[in-house]
Amino acid sequence: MIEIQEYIDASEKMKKLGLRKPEFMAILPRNFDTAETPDLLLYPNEAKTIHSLIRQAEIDITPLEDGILFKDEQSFTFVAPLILFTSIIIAQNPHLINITINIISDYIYDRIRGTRKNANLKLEYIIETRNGDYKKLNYEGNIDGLNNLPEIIKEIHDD
Amino acid sequence: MIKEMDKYKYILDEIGARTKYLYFTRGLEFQEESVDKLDELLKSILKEKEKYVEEKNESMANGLLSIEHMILSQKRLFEMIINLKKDNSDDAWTSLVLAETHIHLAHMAAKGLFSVNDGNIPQFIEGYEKLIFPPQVYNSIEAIYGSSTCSICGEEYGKCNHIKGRAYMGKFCFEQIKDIKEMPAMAIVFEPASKLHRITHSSDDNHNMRDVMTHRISHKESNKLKTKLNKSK
Repeated sequence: MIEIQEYIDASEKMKKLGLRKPEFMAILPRNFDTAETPDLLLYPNEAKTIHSLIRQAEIDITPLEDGILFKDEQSFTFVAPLILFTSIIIAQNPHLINITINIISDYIYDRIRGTRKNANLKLEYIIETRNGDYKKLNYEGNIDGLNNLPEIIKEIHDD
Repeated sequence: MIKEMDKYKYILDEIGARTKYLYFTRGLEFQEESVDKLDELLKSILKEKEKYVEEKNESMANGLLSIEHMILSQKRLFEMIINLKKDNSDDAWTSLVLAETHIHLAHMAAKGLFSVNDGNIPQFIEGYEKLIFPPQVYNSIEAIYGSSTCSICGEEYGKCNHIKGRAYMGKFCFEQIKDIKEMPAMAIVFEPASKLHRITHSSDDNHNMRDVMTHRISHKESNKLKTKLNKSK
């Protein structure tokens, strides 16, 4: 299931919470849109792993913010970190979005390697459009459905 | 497969040959003997793995780590059957869940090296889980934590280049959570992170606590529940 929603002014919210504004992409705390103060922010526990995998692929990703706590939900459903793609990366290096999504799908596939489980996953991406607005893409389903996301992200950006 | 791994093919052949005893109806003596044999194989593979670790031969160390977990997976499946035959259904469930974990780890250790022939172990696991055990309900606990370290290098997890679940020189990386700040919620789920966290008892219409596996009344738990209910009246 794919859902596209209007999103808050992420740039303004980052300023309010004292977070670094990314040049290309960043992992945002899960409750970024609702947290009123920085001490309430939480990363999902997979944030460190996904950040590390993206960094090791030599993709420029803003470091995780120090001092933010992590939340482990102990469910088999993979709750991916909330990733923000800036307009610059979508317009200038869209292939890096493909690589990022492939990294995530490989990691999810690893979690079920050798078992007969289907990996259920929930992904949320924040997309900065070319007009400077922000939209949220929600994806819930299996790994195969991820293939279409880079194209959808590009369309959302260009709209 | 890496050429050097060929000399351990006899272990995979032994595992394959023992698959015939994974059917429930096979004689208990064959299944118990299989556990002993797998223990022997495990000891020898651990010794061999150490040798490759000392030589800093990561591919071979990880290859043998994969075989180690293949052995453990089949061993756990035999233990599950033995436990069922001895009416120890709780332990049987634990063995089943561990068998699944080990086969997953066998695949992870072999990642990028060779493709694992798992001898249909996942099919046996799925079959036993669905047909032998009643449906289970699980607990899931949320935790909020500040920092975590890498089990391989001891650095803050995420700052180093190790990835949890992957094999490095014959060992798996895992994230060690250091400072749990709070555990805000507990949920009842059907798809848990770990199937070991299951609800073991439930109460019937007469407030008897029954074992989810055997359906037998657990007297100690029932008495506690009845006392509690009487007090609340």
